[in-house]
Amino acid sequence: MSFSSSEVFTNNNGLYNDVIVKNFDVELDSVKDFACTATVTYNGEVRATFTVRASQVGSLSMACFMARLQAIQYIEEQGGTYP
Amino acid sequence: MKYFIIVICFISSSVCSQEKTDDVISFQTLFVQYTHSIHMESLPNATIINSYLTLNNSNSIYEMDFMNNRDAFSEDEYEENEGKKGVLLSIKPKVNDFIFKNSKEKISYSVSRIGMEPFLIKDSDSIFEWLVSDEYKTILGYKCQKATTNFRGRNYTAFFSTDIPYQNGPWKFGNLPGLILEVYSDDDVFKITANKLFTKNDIALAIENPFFKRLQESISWDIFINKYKNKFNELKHYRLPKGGTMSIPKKGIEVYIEN
Repeated sequence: MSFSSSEVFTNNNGLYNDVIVKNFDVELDSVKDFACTATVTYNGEVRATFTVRASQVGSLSMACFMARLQAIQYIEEQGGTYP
Repeated sequence: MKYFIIVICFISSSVCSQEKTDDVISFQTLFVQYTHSIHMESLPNATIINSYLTLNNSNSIYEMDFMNNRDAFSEDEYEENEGKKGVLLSIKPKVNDFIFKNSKEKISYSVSRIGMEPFLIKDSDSIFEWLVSDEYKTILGYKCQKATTNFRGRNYTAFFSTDIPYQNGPWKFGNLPGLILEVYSDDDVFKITANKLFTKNDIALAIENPFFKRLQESISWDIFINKYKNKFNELKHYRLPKGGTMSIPKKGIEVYIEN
């Protein structure tokens, strides 16, 4: 299976300017339980995770694509700065 | 009329000058640079940044320089591992995080998040109950004493120096009889170590609360935790429009939901 190794997304909502996507291994309950999780981090902490399950290993790359899409959509919906 | 305006200007100018003079005379400003490291259990790499504590007798501000954290945004290699894959999306901040403490009122202001939604949290000094021991070590030439505590789900060890008589420290830490120069969680998730310390007596630096325009929005930690739990439970039943689930973690540096 394959994933894009890295992509940069640009957003101008004032909170951030780049989102760097990395691929990494995640712990799943079972090897038979095919799923992909997109983890959103901010300042070193996990802020949200998006998990899409796949029926078989062959569709895992599609699950990753969907999970990443959901995560990006969530990030784009966030806005504002503090303070 | 002209005379009245001049008098007003003179009076207000005197008041401003007096306030500045008080700052210079009363307060010595101390600057401490720390290395601030976070390595959450579920993430492959640690986030290591510089952080800066600026303090005087009345106020302090701790700035975490996440904006210059270039390491976090370098490209990671990925490894194939059948059935176990994930993507990591690291959001680069446009502003640094701050924690402001008012030593006289014994309160602090910081930002905590539910997902990415920020909340201004007002805490008191009494959140830390330390157990001071007889162990010592030297940090930056200062004799430091060991203290331990449990704070919001993690056990911490701190080293403070009574030679630096500020009851303060990096991040939210404080309430010890001297400045904290090193503090770490026993599980290695969170570690802060001082690497530079200096004073500038000739600088009249008023440390102001960066959140002062939003103080009315501040909430207690207990209220924040209730909001967090509500969102966590709400997401348990949430299904994304295109399939899949969303969740927020049970813990960050601080534990939000006990297992």
